[in-house]
Amino acid sequence: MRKLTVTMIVTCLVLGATAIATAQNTSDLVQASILADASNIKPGEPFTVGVLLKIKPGWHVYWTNPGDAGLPTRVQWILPPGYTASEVRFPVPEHLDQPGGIVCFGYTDEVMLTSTITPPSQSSANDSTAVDITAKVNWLCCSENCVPGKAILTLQLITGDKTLPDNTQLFEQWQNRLPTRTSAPAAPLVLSDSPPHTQILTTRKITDPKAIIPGTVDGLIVSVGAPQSTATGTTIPVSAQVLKGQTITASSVPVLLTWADPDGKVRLGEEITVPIVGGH
Amino acid sequence: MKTKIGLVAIALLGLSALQLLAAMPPIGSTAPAFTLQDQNGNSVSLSDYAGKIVALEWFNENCPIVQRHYKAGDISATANKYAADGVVWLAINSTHDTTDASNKVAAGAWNMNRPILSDASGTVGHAYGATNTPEIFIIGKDGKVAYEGAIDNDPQGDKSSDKVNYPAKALDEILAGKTVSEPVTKPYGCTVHYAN
Repeated sequence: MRKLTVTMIVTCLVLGATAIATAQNTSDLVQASILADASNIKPGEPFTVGVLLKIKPGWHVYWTNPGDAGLPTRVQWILPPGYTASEVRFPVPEHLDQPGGIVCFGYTDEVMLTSTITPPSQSSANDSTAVDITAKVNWLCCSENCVPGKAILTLQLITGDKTLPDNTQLFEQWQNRLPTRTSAPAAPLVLSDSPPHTQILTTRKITDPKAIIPGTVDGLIVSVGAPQSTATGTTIPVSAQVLKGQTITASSVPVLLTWADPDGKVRLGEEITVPIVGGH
Repeated sequence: MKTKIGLVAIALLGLSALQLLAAMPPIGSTAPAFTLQDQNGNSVSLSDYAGKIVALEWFNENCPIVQRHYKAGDISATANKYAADGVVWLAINSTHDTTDASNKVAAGAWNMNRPILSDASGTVGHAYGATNTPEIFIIGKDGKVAYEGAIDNDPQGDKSSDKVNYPAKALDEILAGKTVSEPVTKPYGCTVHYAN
């Protein structure tokens, strides 16, 4: 595995008061690096970049929705002119049960967050020009305590007349950990219902099913119940609470159904889109 | 309202685990009573402040999000500003290993001239369904919950504009005799490290 980490700045919060417990150095907890699935890239030909976080045993970082507490891990790309990035893709998270019935969603051990980067098709640059792809990454790493961390990671790639693959196995491995997306229609969440509620029905027969919401919907608190597996498939109850004083502009809410991989080591998932009706 | 909706939903759908905020007392319901000890060994009861507006702030001095706010000074600034209007501000620490002594150190380090109540058993935290530090509950003069949720709308601490101090907004509205326009927000921060 080739890593092209040119700069890596890891900082940790400086405490305002010495009397308060000193935070651990965040670089002991999370090692961040940036990689691409290509070493040489071609104008107009998309490639994938990833931020790989290696997490100290016993600690975790968070998914897009941290759950009852925590902060989402964030990646922001800084790209050369004309380059565009897809949204950041998060692998299917684990459920992290905390004392007091608090449930968080996130990752232990390691996680890679990826985006597809598309270079401009007409590059003014000559062959063998080096371009910098930079990721600004923020995370909150928690165990008994929490330690915030951030890194600025830069990867240098060479533009040329063909794409040269790199890190193929690693990117395939993390690609397989992303949720699939279903086009199966789900019954809408009707906001005028009291309470707004619906059910998602899938034909999946899976082990240890759980359902979670990847993010927040402005003006709504969406709740998903425990999925019920039957002989014919899996049912997920969904309900919502309309927050007073807030405007609902979203036309749908994604629900992530997750289940245990047959080998039991990782969780797999499927993202299902539930339409929202009556919010505008 | 919220728990009622939650209960209806549970009844209708067999929901077993509502993900968010379901354990918090509904807006407009009577705030759960409590008696706890502060960092100086004084007994403090919610009923001591009957007829006053009370803000409860879930606190853990070792949470970096709490530390960020105390370094910036915004929570104390809000607490001190509204103290002039008669608003009582109580910090509550539901961390399983909190002690009066550790709360006293935190109060000294951050010039907190208000009680930090020790709830190491987590009883009061569970009664309010507090999940994060920081997390705020505001109780109106009528003893009913008027606001619950986040300290502001800036989880990452990097907003320069469009920042909303939710408790200040709610307190302004309550003091002006208005209904709180955003009574529930999603709290953010560290997990409350409960004993169980």
